[in-house]
Amino acid sequence: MYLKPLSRLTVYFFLLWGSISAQEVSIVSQDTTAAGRWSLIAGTAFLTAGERPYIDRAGSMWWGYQDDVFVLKQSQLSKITVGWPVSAIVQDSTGSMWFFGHHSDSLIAARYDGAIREITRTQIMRNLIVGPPAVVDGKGRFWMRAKPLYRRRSGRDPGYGIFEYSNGHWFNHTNITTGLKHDLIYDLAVDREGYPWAATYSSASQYRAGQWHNYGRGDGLSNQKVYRIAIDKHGDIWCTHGNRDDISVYDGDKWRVINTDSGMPVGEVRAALCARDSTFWFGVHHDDIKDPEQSGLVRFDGQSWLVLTEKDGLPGNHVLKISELLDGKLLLQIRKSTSTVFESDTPLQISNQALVIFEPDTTRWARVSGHVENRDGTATDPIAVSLTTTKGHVKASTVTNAQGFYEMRVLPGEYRVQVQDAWGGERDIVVAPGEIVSGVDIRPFWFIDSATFRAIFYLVSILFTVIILVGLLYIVILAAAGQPLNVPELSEDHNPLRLRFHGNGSSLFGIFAINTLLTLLTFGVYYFWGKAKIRRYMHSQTELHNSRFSNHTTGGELCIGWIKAIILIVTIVLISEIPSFFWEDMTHEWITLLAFYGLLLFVFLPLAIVGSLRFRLSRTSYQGIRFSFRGNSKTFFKIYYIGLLKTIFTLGLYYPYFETKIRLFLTRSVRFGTGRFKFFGTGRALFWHFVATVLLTPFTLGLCWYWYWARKTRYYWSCTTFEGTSFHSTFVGSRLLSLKVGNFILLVISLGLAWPWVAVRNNRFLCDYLVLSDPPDFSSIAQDFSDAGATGEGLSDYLDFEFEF
Amino acid sequence: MARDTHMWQAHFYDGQTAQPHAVLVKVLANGLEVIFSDRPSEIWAYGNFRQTEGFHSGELVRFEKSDTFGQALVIEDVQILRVIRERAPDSSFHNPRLRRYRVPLVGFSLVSIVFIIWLLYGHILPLFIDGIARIAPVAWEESLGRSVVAYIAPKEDRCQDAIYTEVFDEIGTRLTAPTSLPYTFRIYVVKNAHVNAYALPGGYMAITTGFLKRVKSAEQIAGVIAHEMQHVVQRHGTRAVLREISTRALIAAISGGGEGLDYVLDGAALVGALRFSRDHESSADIGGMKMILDANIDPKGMVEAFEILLKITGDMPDGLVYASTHPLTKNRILSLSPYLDSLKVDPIPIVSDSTWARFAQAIRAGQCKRIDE
Repeated sequence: MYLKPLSRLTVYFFLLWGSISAQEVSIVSQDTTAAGRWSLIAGTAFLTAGERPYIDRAGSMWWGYQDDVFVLKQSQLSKITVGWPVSAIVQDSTGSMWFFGHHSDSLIAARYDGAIREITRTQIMRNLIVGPPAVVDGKGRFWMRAKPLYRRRSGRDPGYGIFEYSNGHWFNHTNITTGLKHDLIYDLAVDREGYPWAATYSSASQYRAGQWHNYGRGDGLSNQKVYRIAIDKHGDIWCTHGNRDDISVYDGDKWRVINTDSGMPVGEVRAALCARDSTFWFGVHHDDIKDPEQSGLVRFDGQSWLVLTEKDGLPGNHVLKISELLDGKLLLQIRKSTSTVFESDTPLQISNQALVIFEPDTTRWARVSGHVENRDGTATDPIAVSLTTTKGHVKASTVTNAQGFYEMRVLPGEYRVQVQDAWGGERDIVVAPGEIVSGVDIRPFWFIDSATFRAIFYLVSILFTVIILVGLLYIVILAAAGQPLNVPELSEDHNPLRLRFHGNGSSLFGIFAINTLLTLLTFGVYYFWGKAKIRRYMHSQTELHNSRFSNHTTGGELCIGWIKAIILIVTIVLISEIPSFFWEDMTHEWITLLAFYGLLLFVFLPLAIVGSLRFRLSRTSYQGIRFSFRGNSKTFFKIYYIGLLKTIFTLGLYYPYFETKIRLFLTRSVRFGTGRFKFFGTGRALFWHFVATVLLTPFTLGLCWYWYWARKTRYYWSCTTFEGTSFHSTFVGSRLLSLKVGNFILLVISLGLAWPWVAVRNNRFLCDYLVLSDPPDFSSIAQDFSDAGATGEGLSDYLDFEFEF
Repeated sequence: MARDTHMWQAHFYDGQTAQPHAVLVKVLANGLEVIFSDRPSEIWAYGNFRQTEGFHSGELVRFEKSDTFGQALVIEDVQILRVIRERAPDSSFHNPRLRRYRVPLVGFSLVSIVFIIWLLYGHILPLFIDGIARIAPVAWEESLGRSVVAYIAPKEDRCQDAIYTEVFDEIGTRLTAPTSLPYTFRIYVVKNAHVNAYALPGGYMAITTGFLKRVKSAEQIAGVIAHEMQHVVQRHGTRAVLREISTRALIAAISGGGEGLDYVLDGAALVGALRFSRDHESSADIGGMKMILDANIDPKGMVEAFEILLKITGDMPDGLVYASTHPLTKNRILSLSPYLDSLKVDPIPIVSDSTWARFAQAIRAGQCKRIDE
């Protein structure tokens, strides 16, 4: 190349140092493939690894090396001798080039318009010098990376922020000075509105109105580490993250993420460029993807993606930097670790980097288009479609449009069209490029389309709602009626006595709410007083023969009983820990478990049954006379143990006898004042029903047990007398079942809060279905009080066990 | 006033027999006059009897004599209470007029309950647990861990081959060398096909052979071990135990005998506990990564270990995060990726290639020397 003598003169005239020499760039090798023409270039200058050349608006490439600046214009290389190392080069809006660098202890800014004019020389502060890239923003301010003068010997680069150069002054933007998110800078760019953007270690940051606006993962970026920023013709900001993380795009309002689901062929790119024709070019970094067939150069034309690798003529698979020259040519900085080809006499690279000029030739590219549709012929939702080689490497990809159509540009070859179905599996068809693909069915055979699904969903929810509403209505009717419908009448009654329950759920709920509040406020202490209150309420609402029952439990008693029970249990637990002193391995765990559950079953349960009954009866009165329990605990233990063992050894068949024996003992032990209860039932009457129920259980989903329980209750009451009064229960299985189902629905739809209403329903049910033949002679019954402690009561509370009588 | 002479119908129970007596009651200034049909009337002086029932609508008013066991008066008309209040303002019987405040009182109680639960569960309980976990002695934690270790690493399933011990000793030493932790870490290799690793309070850890079969380097194992060590160091297990106990107590207090209610609360508590569990996992990830970096171990190993996990389990749909003990594996990998570049010096390999080869060989062969062999 020849330079005007005048300019050379000017250079010599204005500066004591500086010279320009010119030379042709030689093409080391050239290769034309279907992708286009690849030219590996070489010259006498070195492009330092890690440096990015600056491409001016005329398509010339500028870079500094040692004390010179090299310019590659068309295919001619010239050298401008500057005399100090130029680290950053940028072209301003007037077309002048600006060189930034340093010499001894000064930062230098110089303008070059055929000659170098030094503008400022400033004392270096904090040992910071400038580095590429440099950009000019809309206000004519220069922005470039700050670099340390002395490289740190080891450790991670902490980053030094950004230099702003305007009006002859330098300013260092950092996290501390102006709120930049991170000081480690990877890239700088200027958006279409003229605001500078920085790609940092943990943000994409825009400098606007005197401060940095940092965008991170919380704003919708797929990763906060941003590697390169490219700006497209709409002014959208494209950020690459490297490190497995897709591309984040900012449209001025929101961030969106482009990844393999939205048609990207590879998940990880770093280098990025938006060419003048709005085509995007991305480079895959060698750190991210080791598979050569998945790396290389990636092209995105706004619609489909194309991957170019060594097989397509790319001289190396790791594209570090991409710049655009004139005429749609690209300049690629490529690393190829194992190559010796580039080590020719004067390569344009150091180490293993090469410069490649790539002229894409789209005329020879093929188009693959097709239609993805569901089995019923409807268009699928937008879905990623890719072209893969026979070895499974993705060469091109795109997403279908709303009508299910797709079109991809690809180099001629044999590919398969691959579509990912909704369940993550891959279904593919082998086609030749250019062939229309249709009838791709991406759904499993049992797939229901969304309209049908919606219809079924609505139907089921309506059905469910109706069931719940009917259940609710039923419950409301029951509650309003005050008692279960159709109480069977006694046929032979002469003067039947009925129990009546007057309580209502809302009063009970009120008591419960206040109890809970007080329990919480007293750290749980009030629990016992609340429990006593509820018991008093339930009893006082139960009426027989124009008189109410009464309950005399006090919170204090319950509290003491609970404490005693806890002491008992803690003692047992401590005792059951003793084996752990003798066995170090698992054995002691088993012995402990065995001891614990053995004690529970053989000691605590009978203790709790008798204890709580003794306590509860002694606190219940009717017409001023207390009930009491006079059974001998030892006798009960004997009945209980023998019955339990017999039940175990007969595989449960003895159970009805066992139950009846316990009932016999318990009923005969109950006194009302001096009046006695009698019971004369035997297990035999229930045995066959029990057996039948067990056998029917699997066929009736266990519902047959309600009929058994009803029968048992009827039988037990018919066997019970009190001082000449007989009892008659009209329990029916179906009623019991509907009561329990109603309760269940109530509890489920109220999330358990309806339990007071459930308790009221249960009590009302019990009262309504029990009839006494005639009133006993109350005048003959005298008071006979027998006090009892509440330990058994506390125990049954702990065991979460309620004994219904 | 007409009320002065008003006679109230009542039943009198003498506490001796079950026979009720119909009586009339007159309200006087100093007490109630009980008028019998068959014997002279009695005066029940205020202070000598108390009201036990008649606080709620539908209840009858019941007075019980304090000195005579079983003697009681039952009056159906609740208005007598008002008259008594008028006659004897000092007597502190239930005031039926206050009943109209019951609905707002219940409403207030419900609101307060919700507020108190929110305060207790959301704020006070975590503080309390934090405090206890902080001061809990290591010895106590160790005994806690020891009592459960037999379940997660049964003695008969522990592999004690020399090569395993060598590699795990090396990993443990490398990870703990830069720290000064009060824990003794015991790592058990458990023969189990599942891919899992556990940590218990006090430094007990177990890692399954199923997991070891899938790892490719000692660095990956170190990643998992560092994560588990953080569970121990940050006392997550201890906290979980404390949280479980205190939540149970809270539920018992709230449900107060309400059948069905405690099941709902149990469910809510479970979801709450899962949230804490996920937080614990995330903080163990970050803490573990810091340990790895401090020990100059290649941080890629930890991320790779999670990727192995991701490959095996697949990730759950995002919506299911709330039903899970662990955060999404993908998110965990993402949150660790910024650390990947932050090692200050070149990573130092944990074990030599030949040791690793022997280890991998033993794992592949399913080698497992039980303690009793």
